[in-house]
Amino acid sequence: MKKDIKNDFPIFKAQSDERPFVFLDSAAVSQMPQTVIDAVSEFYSTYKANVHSGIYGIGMRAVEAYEGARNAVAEFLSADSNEIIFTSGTTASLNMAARMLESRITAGDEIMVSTMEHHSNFIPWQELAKRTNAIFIMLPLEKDGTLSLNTVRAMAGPRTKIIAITHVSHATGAVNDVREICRMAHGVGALCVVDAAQSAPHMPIDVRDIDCDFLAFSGQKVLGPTGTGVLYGKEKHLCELTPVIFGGGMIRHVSAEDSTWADAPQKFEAGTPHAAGAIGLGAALSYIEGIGRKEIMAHERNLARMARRALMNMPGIHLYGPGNEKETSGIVSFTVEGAHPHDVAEILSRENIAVRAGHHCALPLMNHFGISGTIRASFYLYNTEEDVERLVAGVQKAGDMFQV
Amino acid sequence: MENELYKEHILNHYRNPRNKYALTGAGVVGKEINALCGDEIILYAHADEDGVVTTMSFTGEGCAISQAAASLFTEYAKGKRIKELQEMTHADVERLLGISLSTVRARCALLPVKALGNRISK
Repeated sequence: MKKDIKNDFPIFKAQSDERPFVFLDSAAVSQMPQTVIDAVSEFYSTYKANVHSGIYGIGMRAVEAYEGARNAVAEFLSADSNEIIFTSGTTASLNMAARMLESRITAGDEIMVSTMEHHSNFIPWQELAKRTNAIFIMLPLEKDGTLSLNTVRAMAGPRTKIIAITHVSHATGAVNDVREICRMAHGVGALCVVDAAQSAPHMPIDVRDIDCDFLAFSGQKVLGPTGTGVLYGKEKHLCELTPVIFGGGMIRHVSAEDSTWADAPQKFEAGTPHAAGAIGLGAALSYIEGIGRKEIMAHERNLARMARRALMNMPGIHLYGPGNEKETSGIVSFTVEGAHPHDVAEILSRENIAVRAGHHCALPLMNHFGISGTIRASFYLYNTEEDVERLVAGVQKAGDMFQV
Repeated sequence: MENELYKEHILNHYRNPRNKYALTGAGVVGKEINALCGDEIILYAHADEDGVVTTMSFTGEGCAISQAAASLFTEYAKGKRIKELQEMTHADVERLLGISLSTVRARCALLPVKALGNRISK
């Protein structure tokens, strides 16, 4: 990783005092390089126009930039552009997928999620099951919070219609073999929906290779603006399924009797889209590709490994997630004995270190571990070994204060 | 200024909370959950016919701020009217704890107040 990468991100200058700002919450929201801020700013200052109707100079330029961003997303996932729906984030994407698939579910069908899911890949499916009288099944985890493929194999059956699974756990960094899970889903005639919020920013993703039916990720976690996201759907599904949000920009014909829909993906993008956000997202992906996701992943894993090894040797620290470093991403989740996660985060914040603390919107997983929450440090391309050292020193200080 | 939030008396109340037990036969019981972190406080109280607290206790786990706040609150409550206790504000709990609180951490400190507000009288 190039040394001066933090210089590309204005937040680090803005938030550093005599102690450089250490940002370890990229799993929630990543920071934006100047190129992304410029792309968004350029849209607003020079060609802001609706992408639906403008037969004038900047209207056409806005359409080109917006569709250019769609092409960039498609390339990023090895998908086709007409398989990319822009949304406001992973949550919106997954809710939309659950609504779209409602017509495929009947009473008695099974909808499966894992116990490690973020609430946003859990509640939409639980609610879908309620609406359709389907059976909502939670795949149990191993002691270390990982999902065994044997569990999926044993539980998926002919009544299973959807398996919704996260690619990487946002709470522990555990990586799921989504390719194999998709294969198992298809083997029993089910669809597989992949939550890629924690993988898309960090590792190469090829939807053809994974063979998922749907895949969702968020713009704000891939160096893009907040309020942006993507839902990928296989072309055949997007052609067959009907829209769940109606309005302008998604119709073919409207009359008193009935209305018909535009082709995918437009039929799933009713209303004025967040064009500035999508354009910023496109710029963010191009920044990431300029560095390379393989390199990013190796860099983060190295930092996470350093952090885990240092924390492991400290008294009163408990680490969560898989012990096997090869199966984890750049996320380190831990607790400090005698100290509530929020108090640890508060003490770190006084050291100008930002971490996430709490249940991480994963109550079923916290319940699995028998804890109320953890402290989570998540690494990204702009973090450094110095950041890890600062984290470890800060945790030591918190431990001392609460007398571990 | 560095650790003004974690003053010695706050840490003291966190480590050795006062009145931390389930009051048997409590006439008043209330519960509140901090949606942000999932921390839960249950308040128990005896009150006389005028609604004045004679005894108050609490159970539940949480951060240093919510635990210290609950501990201090149960001490402060004795001899006060339930009505006035449940109306305590951000500024009131700052005075009670003797520290200034951000909007986020004030939610931790207000947990016992909210729990009392959610009371069921038996």
